[in-house]
Amino acid sequence: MASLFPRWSNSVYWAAIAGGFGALVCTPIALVAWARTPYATGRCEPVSQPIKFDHRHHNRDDGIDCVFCHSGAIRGKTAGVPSSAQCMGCHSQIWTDSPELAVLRKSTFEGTPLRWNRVTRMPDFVFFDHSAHTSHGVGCVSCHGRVDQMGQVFASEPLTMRWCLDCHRAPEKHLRPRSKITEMEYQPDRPQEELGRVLRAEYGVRSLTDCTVCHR
Amino acid sequence: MRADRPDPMQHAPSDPIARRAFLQRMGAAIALYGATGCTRAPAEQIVPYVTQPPDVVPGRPRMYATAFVLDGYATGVLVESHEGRPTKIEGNPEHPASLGATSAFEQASVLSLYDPDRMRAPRLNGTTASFAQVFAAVRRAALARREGEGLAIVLAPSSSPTLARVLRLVRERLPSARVFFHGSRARAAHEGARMVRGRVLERRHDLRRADVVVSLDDDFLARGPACARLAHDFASRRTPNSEGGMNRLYVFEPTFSATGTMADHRVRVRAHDIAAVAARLVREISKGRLAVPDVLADAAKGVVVDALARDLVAHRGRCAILVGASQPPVVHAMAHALDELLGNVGSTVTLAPSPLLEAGEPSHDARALAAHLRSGAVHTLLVLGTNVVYASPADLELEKLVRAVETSFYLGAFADETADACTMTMPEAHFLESWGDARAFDGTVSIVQPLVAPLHGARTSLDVLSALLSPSPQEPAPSSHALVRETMRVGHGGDAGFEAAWRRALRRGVTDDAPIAPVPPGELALDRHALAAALGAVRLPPPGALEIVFPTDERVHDGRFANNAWLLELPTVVTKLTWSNAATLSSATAARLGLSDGDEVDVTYEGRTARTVAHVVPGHADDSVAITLGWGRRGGETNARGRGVNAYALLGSGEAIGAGVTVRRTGAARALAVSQPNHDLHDREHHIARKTTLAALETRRTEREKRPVALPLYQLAPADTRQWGMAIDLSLCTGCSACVVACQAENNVPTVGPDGVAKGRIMHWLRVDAYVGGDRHAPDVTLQPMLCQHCEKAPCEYVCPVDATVHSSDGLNQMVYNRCVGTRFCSNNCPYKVRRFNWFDYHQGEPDVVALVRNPDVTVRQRGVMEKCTFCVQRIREHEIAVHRGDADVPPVRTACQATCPTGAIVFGDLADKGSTVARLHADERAYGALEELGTKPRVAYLARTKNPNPEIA
Amino acid sequence: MSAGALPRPTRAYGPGLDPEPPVLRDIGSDEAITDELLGKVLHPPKWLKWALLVTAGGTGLLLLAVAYTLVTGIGVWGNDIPIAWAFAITNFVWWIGIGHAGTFISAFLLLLEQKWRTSINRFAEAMTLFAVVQAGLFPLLHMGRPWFFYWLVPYPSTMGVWPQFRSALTWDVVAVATYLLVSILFWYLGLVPDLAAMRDRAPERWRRRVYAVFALGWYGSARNWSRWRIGYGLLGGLAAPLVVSVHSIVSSDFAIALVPGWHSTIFPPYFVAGAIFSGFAMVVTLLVPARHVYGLQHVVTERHLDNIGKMLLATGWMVLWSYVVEIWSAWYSGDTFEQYVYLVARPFGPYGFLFWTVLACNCLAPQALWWRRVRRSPLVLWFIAGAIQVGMWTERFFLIVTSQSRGFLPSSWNLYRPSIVDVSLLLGTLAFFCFLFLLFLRFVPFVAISELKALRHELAEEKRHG
Repeated sequence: MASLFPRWSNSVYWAAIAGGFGALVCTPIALVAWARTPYATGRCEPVSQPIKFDHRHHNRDDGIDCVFCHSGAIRGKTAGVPSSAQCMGCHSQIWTDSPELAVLRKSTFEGTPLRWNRVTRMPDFVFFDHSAHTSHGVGCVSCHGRVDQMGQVFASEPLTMRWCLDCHRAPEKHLRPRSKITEMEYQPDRPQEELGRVLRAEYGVRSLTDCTVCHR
Repeated sequence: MRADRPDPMQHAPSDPIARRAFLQRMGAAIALYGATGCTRAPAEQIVPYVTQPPDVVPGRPRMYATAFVLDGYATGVLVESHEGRPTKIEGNPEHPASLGATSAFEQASVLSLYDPDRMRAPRLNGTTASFAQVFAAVRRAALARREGEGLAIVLAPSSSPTLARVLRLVRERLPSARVFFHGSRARAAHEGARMVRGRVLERRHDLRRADVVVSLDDDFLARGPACARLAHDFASRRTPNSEGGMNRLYVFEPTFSATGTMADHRVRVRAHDIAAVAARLVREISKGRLAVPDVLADAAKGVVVDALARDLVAHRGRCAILVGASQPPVVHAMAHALDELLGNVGSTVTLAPSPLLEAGEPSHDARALAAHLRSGAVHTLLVLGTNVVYASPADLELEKLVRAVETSFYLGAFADETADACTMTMPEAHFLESWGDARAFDGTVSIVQPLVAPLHGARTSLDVLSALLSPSPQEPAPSSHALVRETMRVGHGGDAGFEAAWRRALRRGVTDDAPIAPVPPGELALDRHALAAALGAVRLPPPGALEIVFPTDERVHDGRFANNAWLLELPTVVTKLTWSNAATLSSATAARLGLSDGDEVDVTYEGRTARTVAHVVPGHADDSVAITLGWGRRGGETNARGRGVNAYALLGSGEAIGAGVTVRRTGAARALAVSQPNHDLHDREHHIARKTTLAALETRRTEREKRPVALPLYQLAPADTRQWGMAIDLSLCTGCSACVVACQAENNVPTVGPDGVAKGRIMHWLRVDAYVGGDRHAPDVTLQPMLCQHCEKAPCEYVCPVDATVHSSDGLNQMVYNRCVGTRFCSNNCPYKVRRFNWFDYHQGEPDVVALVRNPDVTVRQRGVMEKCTFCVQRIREHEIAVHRGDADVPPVRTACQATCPTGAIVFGDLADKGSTVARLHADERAYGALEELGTKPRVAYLARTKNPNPEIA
Repeated sequence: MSAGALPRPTRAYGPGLDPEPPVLRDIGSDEAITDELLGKVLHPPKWLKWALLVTAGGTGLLLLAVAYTLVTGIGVWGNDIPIAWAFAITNFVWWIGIGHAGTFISAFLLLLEQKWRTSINRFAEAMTLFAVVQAGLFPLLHMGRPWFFYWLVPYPSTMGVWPQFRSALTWDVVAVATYLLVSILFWYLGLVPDLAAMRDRAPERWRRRVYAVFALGWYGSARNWSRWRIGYGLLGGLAAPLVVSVHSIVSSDFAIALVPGWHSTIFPPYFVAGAIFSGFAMVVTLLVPARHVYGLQHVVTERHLDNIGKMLLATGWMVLWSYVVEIWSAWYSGDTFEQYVYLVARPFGPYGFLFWTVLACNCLAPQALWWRRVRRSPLVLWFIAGAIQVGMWTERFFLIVTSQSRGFLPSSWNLYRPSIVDVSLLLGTLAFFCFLFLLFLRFVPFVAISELKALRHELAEEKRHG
C-alpha cells in the first residue's frame, strides 16, 4: 500500500507536538509578564490636555508648591485641579494675552469649566484619600513621579494593587517629614530605614492591608 | 455611580425587555470579557470649578439642617450633601420631634427628589408651557373677578407661620376667596377636644413619666407627627434597668401594628369596639362619676380591660392613654375624660393649641370643599400640593367636581390623578428644593431650606400665593425665601440681631422662638354633659358583624410616597408584604368567609366595590377587614400605577371606620410578594430570638446561665486596634423599619421589584425578621433586626475560593466586591442568610437623574457579585482618616441604622474599649449571640426581648 | 491457530441460566473480528445521521441557554437566597459521578486483570470523557462573573493575591481538570492501535490519511506494543486513584459547609459509591441499545450484563447504607437543625416526594438484581438502570436543595422553582452528551478490537492448558 504521507511529515508531526506543548507553557507566562508592562498598565504615556500646561515651568522654574494648586491633596480625598479663577489669579497679571490661555480666559469669562484629562486613574471600586497619605508623610513624588520634569504629565507608577500593597505593607520605605512632602528633589538626611522607623512611630502610621481600607 | 430607581420588571426573565435587551447586552458582555483581565481603566475627565466656593473641599460631604413636613407637622432633619447633591438624611438632634432619629419616610424622601417621574414642566390646557405663562394665566383666572369671587384655594394641612401670614394677605386682597385644607388626619382628635374641652386642643404625651401606657388603636411608636419622639421617650422606660422602672404597654387594636408588637398585653378588637373599651375604662375608673351607658361599657369583654382599669388607677398621674387618629371623636373625648379622672394632665399629658393652621375649622372638612364645588360658585380652583382628586372619599366625587371647574390649577410633584383633572399644572418643589417653614408637634418652628436648586424649576405653594399677591404681573412677586425671612424678621421684632438669629436658625434647624405653650391645667374644664350625650349616641355594630377600616399605609402613607421604590419594597411589620396592599383579616374571619390567603376578593361597602386580595394576618381582630390607603394609583407614576387596590374608592366621607361590608371571593387567586414566607420559629427561640419577662429576669438570671462557655480554642488573640461590634436590644425594636431604609440609602442597596421579592431575591442588607409565637388567639410577635453578624469565626470566609470575603484586623467581615466571582458558597454557608447576590445588573439602564442619589463613598455593585452589611465601613474609614489627619472634634462612628433608630435599639462601637456602651451591653445579663453555639462568635449581641406583663393577667 | 481452539457456546442450560457464560462467543479469526467490528464503523446504519441531527438540535438549545445565562445573568435561573445552588450544581455532581464508572472499568478492572472488562471499556471510557465535558460546563456557568474564572487558578497576579486554598471549590478546579486530562489520554492511548487498523481498512484515501494522523504512525511492531502496554498500564495506575479522589473533593463542596444536611463526614465515600452506581447505570443505558443495534451479543455477552448487574447491586447497597447512616447520625447527634432537616424537612417537607422517589429508584429497584435472570435480561436491566439514573439525579438535587431551603434561621426558609433556562440546561447537556456519543459510534472503533484479539488468544491459551 502506498504510504499516506511523505517522509518529512514525521518532522512536521514532531514539530507540531513540540509547538503545542510550548504554547501551552509559554502563553500563560507571556500573559502574566505582559500584565506588568506599561502597555497593560498604561504608565509612561503622556496625556494631552486642553491647555499646554507645563509643570516644569510652574513647579521647577517658578517654584510654585504642588499644594498651591492641588490644595485638596492636604485636606481632601482628591488632590483636585485648580479652578479657572485660581489660574486667572496669576494670569490676569502675566501672559494676559497669550493665545495658549485663550481657553482659560473663555472658561473664566463664560463660566464654562475646563475639562482636563485624568492622568492617574483609579478604578471605581478603589477609594483613595490624598489627605490620609500626605498627613502621614507620603511625598507626592512617591506616586506621581518627578512631575517637575514632565512636559506633558504621565503616570510614572503602574498603580497595580501589588504596587499599592508593597507600600502599605512596609510604609517606612517611603515616609518623609510632613514638611517635605511636596519637595521634588528631597533626599533623606539619614538612612531611610532609620528615618522611616522614626517617622512611622511619630506619625502613627499603621500598615493598612485590610481590604476595606481601599475597597468599600 | 448609577442610581437606585428600580425598574422591577426589567430583570424578570419572564419579561420582554430582558429579551429585547438580549443582543445589546450580549455585546456588552462580550466587551466585558475583553475588557477584564489586563486592559486599562477607561479614560476619564476632571472638571474643576470655574470659581471654587470657599468652604467646599471636593470629596467631603457637608450637612445642612432643614425640616421634613408630613400632614403639616415638621420633623427636623440633617441632610448630607456631596458637592451640592443631597444623598442621605439624618435626624436633627436639636429638633423636638426628631432628637436625632427619623421615621422611614424621612429616610426615603431623598429618593423622591430624583424620581424620574416627577413633573418636568408646567402645562397649560394640555400643552407644555413656560412658568411665566402659567403664572400669568393663574393670576388672570384668580383675579378675574373682584375680591376673588369664585376663587377656591385648596392647600395641604400646614403649620407654616409664613403660609399663615401669606394667607392673611390673600384674604385681605381677595376677601371672597375660599381656602380649604385637604387631607388633615387630626380632625377626629380636634373634634373630640372641642366636644369636651370646648376648644381645639392637642394632647401632648410625655412618655418618660408614664409607667402605664395604653394605646387605643394608635400606632404611636411608628406613625404620626411625633412618632420618633414618642418612641424615644417610650424606650427610655422600656428596659429592665431603665431608671424609673420598666413601663407597661397595653394595646387595643384591630390590625397588628408596630406598637402592637411591643405590647405587654395586646387585645385584638374591632375598631368600633375600641369605643366600648374606652367606655368601660371610664366607667370602671370614674366609679359612676361619669354617666356611661352600660350597653356600651359591657360590650367590651375580657379580663384585660378590667385589670387595665385597676392598673391605671394604681398608677394615677403616671399613665398615658393614646388614641388613634382614625378613631371617632367620642373616643378622643373619653381619653380627655380619662386624663382628668387619672390626674394625668400636667404630668404625662399636656394640652395645647394645635400648630396646624385653622385646626378644627370647617376649612379642614373635605365635605365642605365638595359642597362648595358642587354649589357651582367656583370658577377658579387652585390645588396646591395635595392630590385632592385621589386622596378623597369616593362619595364626594371630587374628580367630577374638579373637572367641572372652569379653570383649575394644580401644583404637584407628579402628573397624578389631580394633574389629570386640572387645566393647568405646575411641578411642585421637593422639600429639599424649597424655602419654607413649619412647626413641630409642639409648635417649635423650623426653617425649611433648600439643599439644591429645583431640578425641574419646580415651585412651592408659597411661590404661587405670592404670585397672586404681587400688584401687577410685571412686578416680580417676592420669592418664598424672601417671604420666610420676612416672617421670621417680624417674629424676631425688627432687624436688631436678626441676621445672626436667621443664620443660627438655619444652622441648628430650629428657630429661637419658644414652642406653643400648653394650657395651664387650671384653665381646663371637662364638659361631662357633652360627653354623656356623645356616649349615648354611640351605636356599635352587633357582635360578629363585619367592619372595615382604612388605616393610612405604613409605607406609602396616603399615596404620596406610592412611587418611592424604597418604601414600596419595605416589608410590613408582621407579614412582610411588599409592593402592594391587601384586604387583611384574621384567620378565623377568613375561615368564616371561606377565604384563604391570596384569594382574590370583591369588597363591597356602601354600594361601592373594589377588587383586591385577601391576606390573613396573625393577631388581626376578628370580624374586621382592613385595607390601607394610598395604593391602586392611576396617575403618571410608573412604580405606583396599578399596584394594590385604591381604598379611597371604598372610603366614605363619614367615619374612617365603617360597618356593613361584604367580602366575596371571585375564585381567582393572586400571589403576594412577601419577603419572609415563614414566621414559625420551630422551637428555636433560645437559639435565635430569645424572650423573657421582667419578673423572670428578677427571679433567676436565665439568659446568662444558658450561655455556652466559649472554648479557649476559639479565643482571638488580643487586638491592638479597635474591635467593632454591635448590640441590638430586642426589647426596644418596634419594627418601624426606618433602619432598613436608612441602610438602603446609605449603602446604595438596589430594589428588585415584586417579582424579585417573590423569588426570594430582596437585597436589604438589614432586615427585620418577625416570628409569630404564643397562642393562636393572642399571638405575640418577636422582631429581630438581622444583619451580617460579622462573626469572628465567619463560616462565609473559609469557603470563598478567591478570598473575596475576609476578616479585617478591627474585626469586620469584609466583602470585597471587586474580587468576588459569585460562586455563592458564602451565602450557603452563612447561618444567618444575610448575604445578598446581584442576580442581575440591577442598576442597568436607569435614567441619569436617579444616579444622583448614590452615595459616592460606596461601590455600586456589578451583576454577579455578593454583597452584605459592612457595618457602614465607609463611615468607619472616613472617621479613622479624619482622626489620623488630626481634625478637631471628630464625632464617633455611627452606622446608618443606629443613627436613625428612634428607640436607640441599635448600639455600635468599640468592644476593645471596655467602657463603651456596646461593650457594656455585650456583657449585659440579657445579651446572647444568635446561633452562638455554632461557634461563629458573632460580633452582634442581641439582648433578649423583655416584656413586663401585668401579674394580675396570666 | 485455528478457530477449533475456541470455547464452544454451551447450549445445555439456555442463555438465561448458564452459570458461567463465556466472556466471548465464537468470533472467528483475528481478521474476521477486525473486519466485522471495523465494518460497523465504516458502514454506519441509516438511522445514525438522523439521531445525530436530533441531538445536534438539543445541543443548540444548550448553547442558547448558556448564551442567555452569560449575557443576562444567573438571575434567569430559579435560584434565590437561601437556595443559591440548585440545578447547575446538581447537574455538575451528577455528570461527574457518571464519569466514574468509565474510569473504574478501564482503570481498576485493568489493574485487577478482569477479562470481562475488555469488550466494554472503550464504551465506558468514551462515556466518562463526554460526561466530564458536560460536568465541566457547570462550575463555569454557575459563577456570577464567569469571565474571572482564572482567579481560581493559582498564578502570580498583579493584585498580589492568590486563590483561597481552604475552599473546596479551589480544589474542584484541579480535580476536574486532572480528571478530564487523564480520561482523554487514557481513552486516546487505548484507541491508537485501532485507529491504525482503521487507517489500514478505510476505503477512501482521505479517510485513511485522517485516521493516519491520529494513529501517530502506529505500525504494530513488537516495540510499539511493549511501549504501548507500559504506557497504558501507567495511565491505568494514574487513573485509578482519581475514581476515589475526584468525587471525594466534589463531596467536600458540601461536607465542609456547616449547612444542616451537608455537614457530614460520610460524604466522600457516600458520593463515590453513588458516582459508580450512577456510572454503571449509564453504561447499561448506552451499552444495551448499542449491543442490540450493532449485534454485539457475541462480544458483549450475558456475562458482562451479569457482572454489571452485580456492580449495580453492590454499589446500590453502599448508597442505601449511606442514607441510613446519615439519618441515624442526624438523629443521634441531637442537633435540632440536623434533626429537622433529616427527620422532618426531607421526608415530609415540601420536597418530600423527591425523598420517596429516591428511595424507590435507588434502593428498591436495584433489589430485582438479586435474580440472575433479571441481571441477564437486557431489557429489564436497561429499565432498572434508567430508574437509577433518575434516582441519582433526584438524590443530588434534593440533597442540595432541601438543606438550603431549611437552614438555621426559619425566617430565611424558602423554596426553589427551576426556571425554563434551568431545565433547558439539563436537557441540553443530555442532548450534547448523546451527540458526542453518537459521533463516537460513527467515527471510532467502539470496541477495543486489538485488546479483544489479545483476549481471544489468552482464552485460547487457557483452554489449551486446561
